[in-house]
Amino acid sequence: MNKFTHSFLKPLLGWVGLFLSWEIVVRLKIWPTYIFPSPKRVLMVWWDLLTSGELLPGVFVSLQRLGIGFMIAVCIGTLIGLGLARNKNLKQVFGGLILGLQTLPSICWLPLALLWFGLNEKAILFVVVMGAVLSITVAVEGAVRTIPPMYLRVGKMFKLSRWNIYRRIILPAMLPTFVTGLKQGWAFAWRSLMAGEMLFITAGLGQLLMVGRELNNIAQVMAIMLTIILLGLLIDLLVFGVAERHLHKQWGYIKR
Amino acid sequence: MTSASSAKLQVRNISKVFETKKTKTDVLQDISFEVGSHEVVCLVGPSGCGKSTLFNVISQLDQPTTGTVIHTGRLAMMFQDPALLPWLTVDKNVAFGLDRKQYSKTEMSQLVERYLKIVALEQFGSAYPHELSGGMKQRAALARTLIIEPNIILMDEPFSALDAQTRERLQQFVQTLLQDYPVSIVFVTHDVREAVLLGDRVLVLTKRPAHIRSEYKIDLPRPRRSFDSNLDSYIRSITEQLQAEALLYT
Ligand SMILES: Nc1ncnc2c1ncn2[C@@H]1O[C@H](COP(=O)(O)OP(=O)(O)OP(=O)(O)O)[C@@H](O)[C@H]1O
Ligand SMILES: [Mg+2]
Repeated sequence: MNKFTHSFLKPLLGWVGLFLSWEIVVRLKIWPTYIFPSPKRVLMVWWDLLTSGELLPGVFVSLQRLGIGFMIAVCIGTLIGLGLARNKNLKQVFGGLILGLQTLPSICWLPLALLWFGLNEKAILFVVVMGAVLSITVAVEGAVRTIPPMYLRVGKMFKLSRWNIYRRIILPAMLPTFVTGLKQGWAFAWRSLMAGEMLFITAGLGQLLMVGRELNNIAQVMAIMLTIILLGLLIDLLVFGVAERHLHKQWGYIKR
Repeated sequence: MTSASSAKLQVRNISKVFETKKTKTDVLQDISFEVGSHEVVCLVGPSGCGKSTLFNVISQLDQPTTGTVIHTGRLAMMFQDPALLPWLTVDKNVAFGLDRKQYSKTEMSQLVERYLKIVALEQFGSAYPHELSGGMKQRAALARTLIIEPNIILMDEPFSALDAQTRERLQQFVQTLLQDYPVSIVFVTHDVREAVLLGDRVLVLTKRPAHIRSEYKIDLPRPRRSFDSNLDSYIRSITEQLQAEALLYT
């Protein structure tokens, strides 16, 4: 009961509050409804998009791009991160560069991607990868660097090979921090994807959003926005939340 | 008693200097001793004098600045901290040092079961380290060390964080271990009574930079109990040595 209250009822309260205040603002008639539609209207448009078969293909295309781009970013980012963490020279040479590049909003890579790959899937994938890869690199590097030296000494004491130190000590020891890093990287990938899809017209949620704008259909814009928020929340909760909770329980962290 | 031929471990002229850009810290200064087979050597010395550093050098986790360490057979170290791996169950922690090519899965779990029984943790094999008390963790770490059947065990204050009863039990356990296995032990402790209880010899170290100040041969029959009154004269003179050391150059 208590758990149910904490993890379901209280968050629900926030959403109900949002929709209520939204409804109140609409009823005050400050703006005409074609500029500020009611929640009911938005939900109806959302239902129409869903049943007419426009929404799900868009969701599917976006999630597919996200999945592929994120996987590539995780592989590359993890390798570079491990390399940086274990080799002082690499870190000194490339560390600053990577931090610098990380501050560049990933959508800035789009013009370059369009020139390199043309107007196609690869360009958008490139933007997604660039959005996530550096933050994952930095997270992995930090995760390895902050492994308590004690664990490494246990590995050395038992005369593990270099490869086994990675496999049996470093990788499992960095896992909790790594998952947190992945979560952050995922958020960057998701944002980059949406930005990319809006600027660069192809199927996907970002495009549905722009179509809504072109048709002056604010209700559609809001419906798609809600969809994007909901998807983000679901992935965060179901994928990363579950993984984090499992690890924290195993390691005995107290989570509040 | 410990002629070079029967020695399991020879520590020869070990010095260690920690150097950073600005500072140079002498931690160990020309330390030499030997440990015979089946012998327990206890090291006592002021806090921060370099005992853990000496162990790191002996176990080759760290390089000495000068000197050599020679040992025969397998050497294992028990750290000051139990250092169990939090992502593994107790079973897997205990099995961690076993060579996986050498044993089948069933052999491994039989070994683990046997050693968990030795440290009286047989009911906690599937627990995670954070679910154990401090004493249980240290016992699990002990099982992890013993399971690889080392010839030499370095123990760095393994029982100092434990309550008196658990400590007493583990001290007795170390003594039975000596009867059952041909193992040599180097044991660091702050507790002079513990040193006299367990040691065949006790080496008193100076403050940093540590060198050997004096050596005591403990000629008492085993098994000893910590309340035995024949420990007292040794305890008194070693304590006096340590106190004199603490008063020097302060
Ligand atoms: N990596 C290092 N770099 C510089 N100085 C170090 C390093 N490791 C240890 N020292 C110094 O060496 C000295 C001895 O440390 P050590 O941990 O060996 O002491 P100890 O005798 O085990 O102390 P305790 O009884 O408290 O465990 C300390 O003064 C410490 O500051
Ligand atoms: Mg120490």
